[in-house]
Amino acid sequence: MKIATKLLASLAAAALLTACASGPKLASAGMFEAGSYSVPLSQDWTAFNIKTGKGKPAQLLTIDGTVLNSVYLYSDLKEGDSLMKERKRDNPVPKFTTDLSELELVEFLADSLERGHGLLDVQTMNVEPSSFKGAEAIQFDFTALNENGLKISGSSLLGVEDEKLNIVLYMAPTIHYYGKLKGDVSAMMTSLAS
Amino acid sequence: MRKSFAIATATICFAVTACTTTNVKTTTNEFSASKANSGTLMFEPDVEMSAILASGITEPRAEWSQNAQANLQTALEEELRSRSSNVTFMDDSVTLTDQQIQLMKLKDAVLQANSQYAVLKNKNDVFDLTLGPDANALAGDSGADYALLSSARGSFQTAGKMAVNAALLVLSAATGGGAYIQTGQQVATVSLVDLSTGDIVWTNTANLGGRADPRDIDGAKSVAKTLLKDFPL
Amino acid sequence: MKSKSHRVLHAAILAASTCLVGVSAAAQETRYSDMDKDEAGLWYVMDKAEKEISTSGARITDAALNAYITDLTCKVVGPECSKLRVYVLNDPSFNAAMAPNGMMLVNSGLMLRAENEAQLSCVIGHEYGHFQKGHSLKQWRAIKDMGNASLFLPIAGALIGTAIVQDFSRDQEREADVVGFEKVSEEGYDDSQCAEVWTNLVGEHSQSTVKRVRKRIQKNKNGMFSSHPVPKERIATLTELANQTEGGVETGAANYKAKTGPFLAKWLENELLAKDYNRHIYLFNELKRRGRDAAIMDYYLGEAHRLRRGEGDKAKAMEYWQSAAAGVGAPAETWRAMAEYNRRNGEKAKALRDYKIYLSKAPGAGDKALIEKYIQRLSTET
Repeated sequence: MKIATKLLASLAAAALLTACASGPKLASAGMFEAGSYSVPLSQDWTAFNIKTGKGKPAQLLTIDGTVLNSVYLYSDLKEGDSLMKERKRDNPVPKFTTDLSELELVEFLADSLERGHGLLDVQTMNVEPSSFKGAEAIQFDFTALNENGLKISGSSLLGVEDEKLNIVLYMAPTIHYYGKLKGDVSAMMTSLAS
Repeated sequence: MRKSFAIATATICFAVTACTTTNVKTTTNEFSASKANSGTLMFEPDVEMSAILASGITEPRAEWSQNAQANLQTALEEELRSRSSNVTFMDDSVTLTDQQIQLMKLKDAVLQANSQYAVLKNKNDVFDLTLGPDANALAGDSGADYALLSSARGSFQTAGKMAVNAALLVLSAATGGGAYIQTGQQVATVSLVDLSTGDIVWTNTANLGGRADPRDIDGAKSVAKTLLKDFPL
Repeated sequence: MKSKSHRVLHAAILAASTCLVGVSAAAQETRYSDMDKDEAGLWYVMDKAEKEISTSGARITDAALNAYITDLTCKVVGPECSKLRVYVLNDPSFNAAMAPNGMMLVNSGLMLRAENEAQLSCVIGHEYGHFQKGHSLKQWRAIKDMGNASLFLPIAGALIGTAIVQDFSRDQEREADVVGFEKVSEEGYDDSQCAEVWTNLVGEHSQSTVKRVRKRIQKNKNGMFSSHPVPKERIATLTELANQTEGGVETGAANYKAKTGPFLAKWLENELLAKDYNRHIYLFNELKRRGRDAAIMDYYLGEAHRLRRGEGDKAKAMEYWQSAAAGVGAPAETWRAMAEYNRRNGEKAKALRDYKIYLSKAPGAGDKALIEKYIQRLSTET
């Protein structure tokens, strides 16, 4: 029987969580810059610096803690990049390529959630045309389950401009938390779409 | 295996000394604790006690975990009653509804968030973690106003492990290097949830030293006392 | 008063020790105290795992499917079935597992690949063999004695079949094979099916683009299916057993297809998440050959080729979708897939036509707004 308790691992992880949050910054209400674009924040958030699969900087914003609400802001991802590093050797995270159709971009993001965030049963809906800084983009909602079986809801705006991918990705537990910041996130997406 | 609840502030005490650190947070949302007619629904403590074997593997021990769980439940209840708190227990033989199951999972996420709380720059002096108003579904038929969630995780060295550690200490001293010595660790958490708002109105996380071992009833009483020291109800 | 009744209940709970969902308090106390320390520890871990699994999102809750699999299990296992609790899980890996506390897991990946009731029963019977012979406890002890830390895998998140990683020896696998075989034979099933199921699996995994997967399928070692080794000798043993006995002819194929048919599309969809397209294409072709719904299989063969993105895959995908569309019962997405292909190939009129058919077949489609944009644009261009 291959079972292991995770007490020490989780204690270490907890320590790591606080440590690896090295350099979380205050993202005050106002315009927040994320690479090639900015989004309006109506209240204070905390911003973590994260990296794409190829090491490109991106931002992760939260108000109550990343397991309770997360807004990922990716800017100018190039061909071959992915949203995060692989979790397991045989479990490749999907890579962005410039020949992806819009539906395939949705697929790319859903796949990334499954392979990179360990979400289960990702279902996408309300896929609509939109724009991102003037370029054609798509917006959609999704539901999923986290590894513990907690229901997660989310939404995303993705657009390709000059062969580079920009993404706003929001996710939060469906109970209480998704609704709490939906308005804030909609404001971000609306500002990018105009 | 259940994800462990994380520690708010990590001060790992090595088994040598009996140091215990606690970290209490109370909600900055509106909350007025009133003992009159307030029922507290106590959920079964989530307890796992493991042995650290000589090889370094931790192995959950059924009788340790069960004893610790029963002891903690008794000790927490006694402690609460000694403060005239009105405690009822979650009926574990009742199947939870889907909503209750989701709320229990949300509770896990909220407790995880508790560990990240300290680094959030936007919170300043605000502590407002909550399960949201749907939390009143957790009350079920009990009519309770509050829920008390508790957990304990402990790992204890076996004789074999202690011998290995001793040997490592000797060896590392001889070679001048630092050997990683796996000592036992214990963390216990209690959180009080106001079921009408879902707010965690009060929470305490304790890193326990060697003397507070919930596997025996006196240890459990010591843990309960430590955890509930500034309990508001 | 409310608190009084709970006090009584609480006293009962305390007296009977901990009370877990699905297990009565009284049974709990008897179980743990009857066992030695090792066994109690293992059961405790398994009981906790069961609690997690029963509320994890991975469980397939369809009542009819659960009833069917439970019935099949009971047929195989006999009266001991009352000790078991069957969980059907959304997990594309070919696996079933029976924990020593009576929890039994059956993965969708297994149900997808089994051709009939006989084959599924073989695997269930095999798992039951491990349970019946107490292999788990022996392994638990053996692992502890060895102190081999590398054998322990962290359990991350939802406990699906892979969580119960059973590290059995060759002898134990052989023992379980024999139990499984005998159970299936007793039921009057065609007992040559037991060797079939493993032969199919070897065939499929030899196609993997992942070298480690191809190699493991040949070795007599813990494989990727959470340690079900599939050496040729096991196939040989099962074949030999079948030759020695006078088995029945029943395979339960028709019933099996009917009962699992409604889930085919979903399971194929999940299969593609593994992204091992050579293997998926092989499996999907096999499933089609064995008589699974042709239009559904064609659609997913198209998807597998599209996702593989190899030389000629785009065109091949389109061929499959066209075949699906010409058949009966192709999913609505088939037309969307063809429309996308046509649009990117500049076949605007065909794309427009296919998008419209898609929306007519799936009026509530989640991507309706996007597709309508394409329809509008193409309408002005054609």
